[in-house]
Amino acid sequence: MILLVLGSTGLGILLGLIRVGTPGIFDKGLVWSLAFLIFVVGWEMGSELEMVKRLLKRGPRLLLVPLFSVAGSVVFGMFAGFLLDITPIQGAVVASGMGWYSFTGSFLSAQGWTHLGAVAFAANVLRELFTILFAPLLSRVSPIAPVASGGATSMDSTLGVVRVFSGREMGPVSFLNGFVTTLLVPPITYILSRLL
Amino acid sequence: MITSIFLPLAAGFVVGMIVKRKPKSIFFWISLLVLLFFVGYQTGSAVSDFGALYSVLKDAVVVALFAIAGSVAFAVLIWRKTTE
Repeated sequence: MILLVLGSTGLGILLGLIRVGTPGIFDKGLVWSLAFLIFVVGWEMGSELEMVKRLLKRGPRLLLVPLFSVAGSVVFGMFAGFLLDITPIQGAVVASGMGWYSFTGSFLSAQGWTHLGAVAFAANVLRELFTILFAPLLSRVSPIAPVASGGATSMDSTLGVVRVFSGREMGPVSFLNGFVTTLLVPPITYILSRLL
Repeated sequence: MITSIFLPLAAGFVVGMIVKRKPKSIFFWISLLVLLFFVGYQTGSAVSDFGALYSVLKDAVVVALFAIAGSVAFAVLIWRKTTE
């Protein structure tokens, strides 16, 4: 599957580099495929609502983790903007993706921010990769650290490493964090993008 | 953009609540692969040379590391305050 993901992205990059096809068709394709992916993600989340309700009975304080995690990401993303060729708000928008690369990158590209979309796509792919690589170190700081690092991916692709390095008992916390973060990312990225 | 983001999310959420079953994973993977193709195309169009590619990767690495640091710092803070 990783090969398919790399192949699909690589083919797109190649065609983009040699400017094949009409850009308008690709722009529409991006918007419609993003809408369909978000529909599928929404469906999956709706089907897991009962599990989330059960997790929330363990304490609403669990909701504070994703809220603080997103806030921290956005604030530090702004700091990163001061060091780079992008503005602090652009840094915050990219960081607000929380690892959801297929949303943030395509959302910004569809808005016409193609360079920022490319940065957002790469930054959020790297966030997922760094979470997997740094999970052993992060879990020494606190068992919640790999969960926070994973962001939106902590409910799926990085859930496994969280369970291995933070302990099995952190699995449900990780899932809930990913679920809430995934709900938070579209509105926060949208609001921040209005400030660009 | 609201209609192409929030409407599908809400519609999918309602469908999931009603059917109480996850969508077949093939839907997710096909939509992801198609989307990544289009994102790749946009990225390829935006990145015209290796200098631009370096700029994208440099910005992406720094923002990714800062975003992780921020998330971890804030989340660990609230986790320690609420669990200790």
